[in-house]
Amino acid sequence: MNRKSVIMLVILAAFLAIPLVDSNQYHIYMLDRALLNAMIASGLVALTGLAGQMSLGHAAFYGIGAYASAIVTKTFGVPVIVGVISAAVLCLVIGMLLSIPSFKLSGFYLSLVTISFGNIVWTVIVNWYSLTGGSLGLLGIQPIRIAGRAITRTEFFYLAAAVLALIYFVTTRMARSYIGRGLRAVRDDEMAAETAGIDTKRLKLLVFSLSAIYAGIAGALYAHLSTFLSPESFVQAESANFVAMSVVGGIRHMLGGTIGGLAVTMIPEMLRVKGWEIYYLMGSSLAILVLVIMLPNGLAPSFEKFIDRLAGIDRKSGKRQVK
Amino acid sequence: MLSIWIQNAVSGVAIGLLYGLIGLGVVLFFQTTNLLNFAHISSAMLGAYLCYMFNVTLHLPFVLAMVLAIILVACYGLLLKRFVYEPLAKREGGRLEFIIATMMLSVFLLNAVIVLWGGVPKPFPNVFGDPAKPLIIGSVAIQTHSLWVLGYVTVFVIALQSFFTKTMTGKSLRAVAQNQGAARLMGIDVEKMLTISFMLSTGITALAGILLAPAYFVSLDLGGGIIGIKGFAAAVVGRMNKPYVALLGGVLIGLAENFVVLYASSVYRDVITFAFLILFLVVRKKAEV
Amino acid sequence: MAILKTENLTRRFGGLVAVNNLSFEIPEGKITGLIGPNGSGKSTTINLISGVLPASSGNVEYMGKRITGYAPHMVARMGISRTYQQIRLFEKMTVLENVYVARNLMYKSNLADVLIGSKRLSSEDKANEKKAMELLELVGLADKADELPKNLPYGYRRFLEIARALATEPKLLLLDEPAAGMNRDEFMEVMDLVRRLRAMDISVLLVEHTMEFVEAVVDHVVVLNFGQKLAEGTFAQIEKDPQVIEAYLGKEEL
Ligand SMILES: Nc1ncnc2c1ncn2[C@@H]1O[C@H](COP(=O)(O)OP(=O)(O)O)[C@@H](O)[C@H]1O
Ligand SMILES: [Mg+2]
Repeated sequence: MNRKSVIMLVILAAFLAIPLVDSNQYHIYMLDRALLNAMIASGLVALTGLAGQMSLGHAAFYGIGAYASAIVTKTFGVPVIVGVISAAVLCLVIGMLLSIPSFKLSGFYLSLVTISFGNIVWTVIVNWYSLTGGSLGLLGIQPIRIAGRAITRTEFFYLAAAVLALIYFVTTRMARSYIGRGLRAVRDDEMAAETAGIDTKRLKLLVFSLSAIYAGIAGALYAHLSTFLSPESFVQAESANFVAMSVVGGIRHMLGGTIGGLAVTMIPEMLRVKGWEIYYLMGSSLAILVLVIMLPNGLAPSFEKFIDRLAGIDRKSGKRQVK
Repeated sequence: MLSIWIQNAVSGVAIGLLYGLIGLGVVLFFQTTNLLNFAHISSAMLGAYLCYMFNVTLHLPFVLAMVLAIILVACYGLLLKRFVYEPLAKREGGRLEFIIATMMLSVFLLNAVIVLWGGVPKPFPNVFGDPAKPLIIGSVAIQTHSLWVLGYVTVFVIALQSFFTKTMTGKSLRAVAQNQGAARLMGIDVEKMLTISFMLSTGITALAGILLAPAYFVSLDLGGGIIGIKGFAAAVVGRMNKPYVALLGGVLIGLAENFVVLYASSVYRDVITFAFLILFLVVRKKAEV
Repeated sequence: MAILKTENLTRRFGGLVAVNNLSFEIPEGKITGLIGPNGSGKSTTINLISGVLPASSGNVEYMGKRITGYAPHMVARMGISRTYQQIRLFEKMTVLENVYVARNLMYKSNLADVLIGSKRLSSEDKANEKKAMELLELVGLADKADELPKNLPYGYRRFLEIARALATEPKLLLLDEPAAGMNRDEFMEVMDLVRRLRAMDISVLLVEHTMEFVEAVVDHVVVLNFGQKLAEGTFAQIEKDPQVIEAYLGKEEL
């Protein structure tokens, strides 16, 4: 094993040890949320960074996943895992539908379609009172259980970390395969990709569904973490926030979603200083704005450069980068 | 029944003209920069709040307050170019980065307004007439606000048209919009035209915000997403390159939502815009933007 | 035997008829030249055959099968490949990847293979990467495999695009002005490459402005003017055709 992997493992171990040393339940809850956000941002890294497609409506999938799992487990009394799977399946289907406009549109027009999609889903959540509880919210969602008791926030942390690891694994495997090459070709020049024999519609369908599934799983886990859902969590601004995570983390880097999800979730929390509460949202949006402007490539490439330096790898002569 | 129809049509056209004005600003901005500013609608909110401050808090006459507010917002457009657009362009940030940066900017401005003025909506002074005393023609009641909007927008369009056709700056701006490379070759200062289009689009949106305030209050709604999306939708109808078609697009949206409210639940008012946007984009011919 | 046949192929852009009732054949194993003044509809013809543009009316028949209306990737899968007049490369992918990715249609591995990292996938990867490398060698770009296309000189970008087009193992290759913008050396190389294609049993439709090129390589020429077929025959026949001479002269006077 080379030095770089050792350093990465040490950082990973240090991160995983946080809930063991910090017993503040609010901190752990925010870490749980950060991991869920990282799942969604990872999907957006695949969607936008790899395939060049844009979505400003992913809070919709987060919401669909959350409500689907909550409603399925509440109504049928089935275990949480069944709820999560049904959430993933539903998001797969709706993700496929949302990929249809991308066959024809790109760039800004596509972003407007996805914004509209997100807003329509949100309006449905707020107004389908009998199903979702409307703006009052949905109460009494069952928590995840092991050995007959509800899991703690710390246990949830490790569960979410495992799911995120799985998502990372799937995304990376795909990105490095011929499918990933095809997606990047679609991003760089769709017409040339088509005439080079690549079924661009199929790839878009794949990547939209994949990112929808990630968001749906994150939503389902969120429902069972908080045991309460309110439409507030799925507004348009959340969609923008997810994209901000992927950009701040690094849209063209496999670790971009994870790093961005963690950073953008934690930045506002760090600015939440006593007595300055009214400034914290202002401050955090400004911080993200400055990050995007100063580092359009995101944190992940700088992070990797830092690790390389620690490991003594010379970037120029170093091994080939995986993009 | 007919009178309700007419009332709805008039107020739909008036509100729609304002969506259209926002859309027109989007188009003017897009033509020169090839970008969408997701903090576009924040200019409407800033315009309304500043006008409110000058008029109500500082007791300046309304027209003066309005002009001052628009000028200040146009100056904010200058800052937007200097501190968001230029650094991003220098670091080769793409469209996505610009979208995210401006989205964060709009969140920042919303929160800045909350810090400065609080989050509670403020009623706009009745400078366009008392909403409780509409103009009655036969059985039709028409809000004087609608008529004022009609007047303002007409004057504005005439002014904008003569700016584009009569002044050197306006002509240069149009040349840059049509073909930046060619305009540069003709010796037009493209950089300066970019600056002007930043100021023009933020200023126009501020005007729209001030005129919208009687309907939406001086509130965060003016800087929130939904009115902004309506402006984008209007711009899309104008195919991102026809300012006056965008204005008509806004009217279409204003009418559509007014009549939907008449026949269906008002919760679907905003859904109309979104459904309209998806249909319009997906059904029309392929277009690259 | 014709590998490809068009029948009354027509394409309108608004009021303009860019390709007008065009019927012609591309004989198998031969190099067919498609020439004509600027704006006569040559590129549009290639776009119609490759499926990039839908035809307004008419048919394209490939190896006895109607392919009108097929999506471009289907056309490519059937064995028709192309290059563009304005070179189109995958700019953020390496030179090797540009060719490697055009082997995607060869893969039998599916998503499951990708996720478990199956033997089938790794052997396919190996074979396809090797093939891509061979194609880079064929066009003389093997030593640039890890570069980004933007670092290549103009002529090499064109060679890369041709290598990518060959990666789908076409039976018919459509080349849209492959020598445009090239210097003398590159010009000779591309001419040589086109000749070698015939030896590789690939039929070629060559759109080209330089008569020297056309004369040197083609077996058969089709001449377009205002979207219509003006003449057809060997280069020697075409060269003397008064109608063809007039079409070209008429353009130059404008
Ligand atoms: N996408 C398009 N939209 C509108 N007109 C087009 C388009 N593509 C080509 N044309 C027009 O069709 C005619 C034929 O063009 P083209 O096939 O490119 O000619 P050539 O390749 O022979 O120079 C020209 O008049 C050109 O302007
Ligand atoms: Mg051509």
